[in-house]
Amino acid sequence: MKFSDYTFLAFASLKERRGRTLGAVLGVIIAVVALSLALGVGESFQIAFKEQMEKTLAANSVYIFSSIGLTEADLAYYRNIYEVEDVFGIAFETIKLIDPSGVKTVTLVAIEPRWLPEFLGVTSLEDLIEEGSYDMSGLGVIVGSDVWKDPQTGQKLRNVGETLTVQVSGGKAKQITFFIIGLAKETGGIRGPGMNPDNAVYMEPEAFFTYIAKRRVYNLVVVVAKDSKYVSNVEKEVRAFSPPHARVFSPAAMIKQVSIFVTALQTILGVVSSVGIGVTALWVFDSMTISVIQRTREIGILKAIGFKSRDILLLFLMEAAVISVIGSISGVAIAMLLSSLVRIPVFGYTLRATITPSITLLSIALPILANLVASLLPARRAASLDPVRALRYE
Amino acid sequence: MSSFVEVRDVWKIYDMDGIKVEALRGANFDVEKGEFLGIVGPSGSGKSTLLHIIGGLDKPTKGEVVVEGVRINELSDEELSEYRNKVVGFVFQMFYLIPRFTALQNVEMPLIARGVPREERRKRAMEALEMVGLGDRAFHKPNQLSGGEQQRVAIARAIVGKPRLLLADEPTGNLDSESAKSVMEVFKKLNREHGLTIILVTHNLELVWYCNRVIRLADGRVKRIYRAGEYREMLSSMLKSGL
Repeated sequence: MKFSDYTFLAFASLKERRGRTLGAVLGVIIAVVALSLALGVGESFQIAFKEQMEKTLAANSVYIFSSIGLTEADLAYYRNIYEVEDVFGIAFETIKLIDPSGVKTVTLVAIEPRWLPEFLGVTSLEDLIEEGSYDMSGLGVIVGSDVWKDPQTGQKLRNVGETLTVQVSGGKAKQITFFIIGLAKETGGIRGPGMNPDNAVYMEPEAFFTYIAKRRVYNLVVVVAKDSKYVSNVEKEVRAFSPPHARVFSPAAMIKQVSIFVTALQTILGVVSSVGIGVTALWVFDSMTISVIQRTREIGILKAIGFKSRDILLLFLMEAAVISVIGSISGVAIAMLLSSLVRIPVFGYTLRATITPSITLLSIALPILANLVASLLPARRAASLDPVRALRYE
Repeated sequence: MSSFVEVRDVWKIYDMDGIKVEALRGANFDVEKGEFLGIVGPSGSGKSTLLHIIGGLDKPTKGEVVVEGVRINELSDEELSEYRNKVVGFVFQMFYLIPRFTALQNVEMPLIARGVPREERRKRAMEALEMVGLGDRAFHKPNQLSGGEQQRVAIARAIVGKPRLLLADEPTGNLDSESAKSVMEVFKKLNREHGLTIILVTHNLELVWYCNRVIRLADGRVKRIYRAGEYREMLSSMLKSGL
């Protein structure tokens, strides 16, 4: 028998049982949409998370944290490591904004302007600034989006050129007034280690150590390697040079760990969504079993006129394959349409399901395979029917 | 020289929930090529079982059936399918057409199993339908045809693959006398004009007049084989015995 003949006979049979066929196809579509979207959202989440991590925590850097603080001498040690390209320090201080509406706690970040993009995960300083300048000097500061506008209503609260009075509670407790030179764009709130970069005020380190901090120490030092392939070596050297109170970690290792976690999450999502495929396979098994019983005499006729047992087996498998192929291709098409229409907000980002070629392939292949396995038993039963008994079946 | 069909000491014993039922008890006879053989006998005499065994639908418990020199009870499942597709054609009492297909598609079925290309099988199926006088009913579905027409479609299906042996199991059993006559005329034409060997199993003793020879079967055994001139004797003997 030819492939086209199997297809013709399978379609004719499915058309006759169109109610059950439509039910089975619909089941496959729902299962495939659920599976594709679950895997697609997982994929999208993984890509977005990884990109963000890589942007925020440069993959070619090693971070050193210290609550006590790292000195210029520590930075000098790090600069002497052979594969290191550059080293910069960042100091943090919790301050209180004094406003007519009340007092608000924000983080004051001392960082050289040129390192701001690296620190906040943007490509250039131009990308960072919504309005004003990025040329921080003296008491001229850039303010985060939550500081210059109301996070809830989006109403603008502060403008470039205005003053900003803050209460410093640290070593040099006092009230100080800054000048706003730039308004930063919203970052989404998860960039920057250990703080919300939108709820921050950025200033130049020299002024910070002059007017704010008691000691010239950094809470965070970022060591940038010449290439990401040297990160592992640089990390070892940094650990050797670092004081005992410092905590060293490599973003590359962290990204890897997070990726493993997200992949595991995606796998769990996939497995849970696959339950739908299993339920559909049971439906197909049930439908095929009923079909074999109802068509017992027809099977007898086919055998009497020369159809081989293998032909009968393939005929039933073809019916399952037709249901699965139509269902899974339609399901993937619907999932693709939904992925372009539906956006899911996660941690301030908008994700849409990414239906990759591998997800497409899996979403098509899995129901076909599951349904073929499910219909194998009824198909074998049909193929092994005794023709005389089948013809006499009432 | 061996016969076209040789039935040698064929036994068929069914196991019905532990009870042995002997449907055939050592049937022996030959069928010559081009012959129109009738098999008559009461219900349960083993007529249909014998036909199924000759047609490769069933296997004997003992004995052998040789068709064209081939022992068909030694054929594998796959070879038997091929035998049923190429050597024999079946016509059943209940027609056994597939309701969702048109008359033409039903007739095409044996050629589909054989892998004949679509255009060729359409042409051959149409020729077979025309041979049984149903060329104008090709695109009708079985429920749009009368019983006699359905049986003629079934005959077209049985002959479309140009078999050498046609096996008919009570082909007029579900038909009125007019339709039965038209069906038997088709058989007669196939036998006389196309030289097709036919084995006909029937209850209807009027049909024996179409046959060259008739086998009387009783209790799974061949009681007697009658030649054309001996039918009156056979009929009176059967009437006397209440069969």
